[in-house]
Amino acid sequence: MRSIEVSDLFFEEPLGRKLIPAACFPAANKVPISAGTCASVHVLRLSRAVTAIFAVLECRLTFWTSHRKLRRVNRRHYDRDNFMRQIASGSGGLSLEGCEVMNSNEHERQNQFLARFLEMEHALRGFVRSQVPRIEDAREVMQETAAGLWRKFNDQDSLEEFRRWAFGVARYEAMAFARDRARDRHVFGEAVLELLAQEAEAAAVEADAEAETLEQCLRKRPAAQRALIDAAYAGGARIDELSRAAGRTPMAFCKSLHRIRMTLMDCMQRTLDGEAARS
Amino acid sequence: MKDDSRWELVQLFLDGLASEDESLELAQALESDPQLRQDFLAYTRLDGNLSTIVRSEAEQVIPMDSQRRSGRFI
Repeated sequence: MRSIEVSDLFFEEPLGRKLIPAACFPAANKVPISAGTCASVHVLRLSRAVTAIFAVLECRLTFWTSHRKLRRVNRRHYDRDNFMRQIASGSGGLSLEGCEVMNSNEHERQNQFLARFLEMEHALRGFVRSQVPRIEDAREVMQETAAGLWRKFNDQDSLEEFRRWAFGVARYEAMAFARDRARDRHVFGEAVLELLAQEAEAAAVEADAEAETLEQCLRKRPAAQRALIDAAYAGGARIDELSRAAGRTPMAFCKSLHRIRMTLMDCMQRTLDGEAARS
Repeated sequence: MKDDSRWELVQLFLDGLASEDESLELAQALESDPQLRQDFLAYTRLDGNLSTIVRSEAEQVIPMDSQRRSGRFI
């Protein structure tokens, strides 16, 4: 990876000087030069300029598309921004200050990873959530999973291979988390994990549509229900703390939340069925 | 599924309130009942997605203008 500087456009870097023979500057050297030599120098300079301009344009385009992708993702559903920033900063692709030009292979690899990861993110998140009792912990496991996937991503893998591998990594991270936190008592055994992973993998295709439908359904809920959802999910507070603040027992609080979730599930099912019928 | 007593175990598990015995009971139920597994996963996806949506709405979106200003036109 190399940096593009303004000077590249004006041939002030050492390489540019070397490419231009002294014979091209008759005023300084007082040596006549052949027309052929000067023509080749001009061609060199021209091709260098074109290359530099394209490199700068590509750099800005890389930044622009990556930034748009991040914004779209952030706007829709993002607590994974740390992960994305990690990807971005790790490859240097979003640094406009330095405006580094990504190696095209690395750029392609990042795009492939994002496309595949985003395609199954909702299913992966649901699977991770099924393994970890607390939502904050699930978020942490999800970030570890995503970071692990990016570190060892093989762009030669097919989508199917990536999916299988991603669920394997998620399962490994969930188990590692449970082991680290000594919460084994709440973690399912290998057999259940395997069954859940298979089911989650099979449902990966529908998970994305579910997430979009959920946003629509959530907008239809009354303000009081929405406030309860926000309280339960936004701050990362524990259920017992939230219920105490609301003057209710944890069980009563959970039941209210559960009723809202079930209403949302019904709404999603109706919406998805309606869309399927229309198409 | 919605009226099943096992549904309560699902809620308790996902709200972090399940005891060791209840977690074990849920594990056994999940192992033996494919429909419960599907419902459980649909519910966990919903739970994960709710968390993501609520959090993303609470977070400030990176303003495009500030990115432009910090950039350097070449």
